[in-house]
Amino acid sequence: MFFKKNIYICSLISKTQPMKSVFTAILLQISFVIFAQDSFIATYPDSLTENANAIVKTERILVEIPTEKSMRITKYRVITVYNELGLRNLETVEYFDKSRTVKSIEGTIYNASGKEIKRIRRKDFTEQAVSQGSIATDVRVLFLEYTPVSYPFTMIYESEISSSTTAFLPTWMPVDSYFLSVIHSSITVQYGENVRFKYKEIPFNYNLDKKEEKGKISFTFQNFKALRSEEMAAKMTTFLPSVLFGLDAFQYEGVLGIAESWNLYGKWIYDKLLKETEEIPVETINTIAQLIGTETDPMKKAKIIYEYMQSKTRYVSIQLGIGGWKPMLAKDVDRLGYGDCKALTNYTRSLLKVFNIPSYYSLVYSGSEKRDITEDFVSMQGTHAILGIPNNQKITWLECTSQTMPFGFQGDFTDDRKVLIISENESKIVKTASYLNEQNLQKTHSKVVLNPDNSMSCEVKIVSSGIVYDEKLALKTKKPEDVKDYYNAFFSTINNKKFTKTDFKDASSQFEFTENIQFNAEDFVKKVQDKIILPLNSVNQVAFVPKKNKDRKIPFQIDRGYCMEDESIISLPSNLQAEALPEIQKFESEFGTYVASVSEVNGSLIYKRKLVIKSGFYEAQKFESYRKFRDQIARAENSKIVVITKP
Amino acid sequence: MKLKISLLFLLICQIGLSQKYKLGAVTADELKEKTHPKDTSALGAVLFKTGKTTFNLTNEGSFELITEVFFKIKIYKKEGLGLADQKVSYYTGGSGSEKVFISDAYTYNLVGDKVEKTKLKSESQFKEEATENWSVKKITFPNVKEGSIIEYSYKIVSPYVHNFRDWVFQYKIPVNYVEYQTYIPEILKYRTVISGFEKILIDEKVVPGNDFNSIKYTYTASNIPGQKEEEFVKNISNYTSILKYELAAIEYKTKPSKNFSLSWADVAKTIYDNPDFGGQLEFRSYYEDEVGALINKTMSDTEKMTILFEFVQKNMNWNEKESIYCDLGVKKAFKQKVGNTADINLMLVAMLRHAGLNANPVILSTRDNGIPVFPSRSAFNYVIAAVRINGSPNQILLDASSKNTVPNIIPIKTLNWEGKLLLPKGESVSIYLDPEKHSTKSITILAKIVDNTSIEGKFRETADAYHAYLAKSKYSDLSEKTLQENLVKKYETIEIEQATFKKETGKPTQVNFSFTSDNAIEIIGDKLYVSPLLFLGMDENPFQSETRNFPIEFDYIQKNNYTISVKIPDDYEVETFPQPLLLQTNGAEINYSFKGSETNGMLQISSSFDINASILEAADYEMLKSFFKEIVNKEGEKIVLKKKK
Repeated sequence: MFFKKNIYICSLISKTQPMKSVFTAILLQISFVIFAQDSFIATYPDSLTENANAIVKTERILVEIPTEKSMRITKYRVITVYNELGLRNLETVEYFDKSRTVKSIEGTIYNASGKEIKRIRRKDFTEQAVSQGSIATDVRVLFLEYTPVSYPFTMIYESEISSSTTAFLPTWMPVDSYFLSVIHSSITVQYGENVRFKYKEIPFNYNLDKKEEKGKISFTFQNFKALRSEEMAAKMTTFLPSVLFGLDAFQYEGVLGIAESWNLYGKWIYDKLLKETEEIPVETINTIAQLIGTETDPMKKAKIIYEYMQSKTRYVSIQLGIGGWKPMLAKDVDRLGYGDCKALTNYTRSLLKVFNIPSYYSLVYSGSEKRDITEDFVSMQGTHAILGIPNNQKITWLECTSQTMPFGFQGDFTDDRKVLIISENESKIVKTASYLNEQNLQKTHSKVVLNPDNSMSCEVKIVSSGIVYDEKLALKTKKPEDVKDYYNAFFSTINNKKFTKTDFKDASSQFEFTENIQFNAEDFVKKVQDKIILPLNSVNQVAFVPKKNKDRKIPFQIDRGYCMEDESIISLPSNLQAEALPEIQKFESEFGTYVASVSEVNGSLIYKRKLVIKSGFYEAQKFESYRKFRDQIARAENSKIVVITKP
Repeated sequence: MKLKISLLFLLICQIGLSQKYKLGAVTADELKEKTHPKDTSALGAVLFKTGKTTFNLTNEGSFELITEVFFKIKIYKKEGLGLADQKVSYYTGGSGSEKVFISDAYTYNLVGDKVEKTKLKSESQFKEEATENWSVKKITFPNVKEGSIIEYSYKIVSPYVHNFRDWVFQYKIPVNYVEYQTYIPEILKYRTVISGFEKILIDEKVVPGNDFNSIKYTYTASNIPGQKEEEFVKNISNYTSILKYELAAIEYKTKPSKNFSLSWADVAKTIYDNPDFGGQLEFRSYYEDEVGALINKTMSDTEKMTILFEFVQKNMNWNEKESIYCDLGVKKAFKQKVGNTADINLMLVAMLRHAGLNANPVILSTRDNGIPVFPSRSAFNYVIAAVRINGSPNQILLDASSKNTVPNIIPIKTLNWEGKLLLPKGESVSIYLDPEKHSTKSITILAKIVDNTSIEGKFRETADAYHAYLAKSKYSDLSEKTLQENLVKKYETIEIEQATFKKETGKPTQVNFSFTSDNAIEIIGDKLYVSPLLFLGMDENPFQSETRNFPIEFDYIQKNNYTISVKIPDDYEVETFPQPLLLQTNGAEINYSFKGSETNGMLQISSSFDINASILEAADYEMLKSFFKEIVNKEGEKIVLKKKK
């Protein structure tokens, strides 16, 4: 029943696609010798082919960093693909731009019995501008569109990339997909004497083989059996291995940078990318000063400035050159009235600064799936920028790419995660506001009138807060016909609805959304031999039950949790009454609580229900008990009573 | 006297109008407007779109097409701010390149009572080489807010007189006024067609010129509503108001005319004469050995057809590119076992002819490509094969580029009105693509009530024709686990085990599984309430909208039968059974039936749902909606079981 919005897609670093697989020329020759006789025959043990759309037979990635000013990435990858779905695991794609060059890219295809059937050269790759709804970008891509002639087939893919930017080293994730087996995957990083190299293994349950010597480190991962994708799966990084790599001193598009500590790194961003961008035209300062008038409270002033920014600007995506990380000048945003997330955040920061309100330009991994900036690994991280205003001991967060988000409301795009706040002298990692469990409250009050002709009339009032508020905000931007569609789906348990009222009100200062809906529905119930079967919860039935999975392998996650409180007053025609009232239904588990009861007051039935689902991370073996809990709830939600003619 | 007055009036009006539709004349009143007067929900509106296309004779003596377009767009709501990002694509491949010039781009805002004008400078213009052959110019208007008006114009200079751009009258937002003029040199003959339901006025007059005389056409339209998406529409752009120009001929004064596409015969001949089409049918050496080994003279024509079709289908792999022209060419494609639709199906036509069959290519336009509106080479994007056996009047349609097709079942995307059968002598015949026969699906369930709380049973679905094609597309080559997961997703409320999918040549496809359903039975008081169609009932009306603008289109005509038997517990008997129901739409486009009974402790339910016409008028919408309402009501009724006394 919750709808997802899809706004402010803002990618700071489209170039940091996880890189996988590499090699040197020497190693390459060796490998050919080793594999020359039998290597490309697609026969593997059943344990590896089971559930696999593809099998990575060998993957070797070599990252060479002789100095902080240059980097070479060589990939060598042998993969067997079993079906169409496995084509996505080929990963025959490379991105490039002014500071990054694809030196070579090629491949060879072998059929199931290991016979070479096709050579793929650079000219067989398609080149295109990277343009995903963006207004402008200078990143380009080379990719292969290969049509297999039979399955399984095996592909050797080799590429060499050189880059003068060393800010983004590849993240190694040997298994980055479900339905993918991996026999051997390794990465080696070789770095010059003066290169301040570092790495971090992300905690996981698999054994990585690590070899470290002076100026060189390698990781190997072997014999991984494909996993099936599973419902409500936790993030892959919580149960699959990955290693982060980085440099304490790096080059980013010709500019030297420091990532020794968050404070130094933040200072670098501030000095090199933000400091010179703050100028605001006098006219704008005067306009805002007028808006502020005699207001002295800093947060109230900040609200006025934020709303001014929202009314003046709009979000566009621009990624040109260092623009990938450097915001447009504040005065350009002011003049043009548009910018990307960095530009709008920095513009708002600059406006606030003029009025002596300090704020932090902050980097975050955005998306409804929460992801932290890895705290103990200082490097260029994040995909989005937001603004934090210190407010007593807390920070008030502003999403500057939205023209509609209320002041201080974050929503599920950047909530509850570690972000980097940047300031001249005290950059650090902090956590954003969270919306958990009962905070995400949807309160529903309904009056259901059953008419003598078996139709019904219904009045519903829904008050939402927390993340539910965020979801409801989308209603404001829907067209009238889409609003009807939304409510048709929302009240899907009732057929033949005719809406007479669909009003809503956004109390944005309290982050509270109120809906008032009225509708009638013919044939709401059926009379069978003078008896009527009446659903108790027809307005807001929560029917979700996860599918049974006897051998669940992956841990699962409930991201935020929520609470639904419903009261429904059901009036029956005067000649009818309930045959019997069901008993109170109450159950509890580590995943949440449920209570539903019905009573009779002055001839009306009063149905009350409270459902709480808690956020949490759970091991796979608990999945069945969660499923049973939801099944129990779904059954209770579907409770019906028999209504008879009064004697 | 009366006449003169009206003429004068007209003249004044025209002056007034032409001022109104010039760029740079934004008024405070226009900026003050909060919502569109005719559609208050509109995010924005095209206040006007005007333009003209003229021809210029270059120094090399060839024509150049110059199209100028002027836009004035109002933004009413925040959600409409995206209208301030505009782009123009142009062709850069081929011998001559197209050129695009964007100019006169301004944003207008109301500041106090004054109109403020902001110029879009080069910093807000971006050029992107999207692909090898196409580039895009993008502009991002500065200083845009709710209420802003943006204006811009662009000019496209193109050497391609045969590639006249479509002129679009209708958008998702309302369009207040459109005017488009074309100045067509006398020697160029274009065919035109206007699609959609909106009223477009056309005026025509001769304009003398220095180099050549032209005919000037003026197209005007007012108050075109924004186009809204609807369900059960194959391709909404079929209903959008668009003007298309197709070069038919060049009538030179000093040399013979060159025809491009005047009739279907011309189209057929031009396409046939293209070396990437007709020429490809002539090669034979590349397949002779293999095909020779496959067929012999004792075989019937049907056998030969089947063998060759299956040979190409199995051997060739479609590279997901659609075209009526070969990409690699049949010889290379055959060798590499990969090709586009033309490579694969023209190869099939050639082999079938080689085997002595009466085979021809059929060109068509896929659903995404829209309906071909007039004889034109560019209207088609797909080619299949057709065979006539033993003088039968019926053509058997073949598409070997999909692994799931069989003779006379072509992909759903190609079921788009009619195609053109191209005969060798340049003749062409229209051929209906929609299937004339129903596709049939039969579901049989044998089940029993267990512990009064759940229903367990076996499910079997057999499907032929398009139902089978879809089943094959979804279920072919899946592991048992994945098949089971897909079926659970489809039927939602049941647990599934032992799922199998069978497809055998010449037989219906079969899906089998065992299921447990906890939702199809409820205990209320001391009675059991059973959903008669178990988990197959229609629980929501597919037609929810209150209004309908476009015809309702179904993929194909079909019959669906459900036969369900449920054993009830020994100590229970039927108290009530839902009444039988027979429904038929006014024109018998859809039939529905439901009936059931109990014998010897077995519930027997049978239901059918047939679609006999693949398109219904928008005017039938209310009828259709209430038709489905009755079905939903019926299938929501319960069989009530009571304890035996």
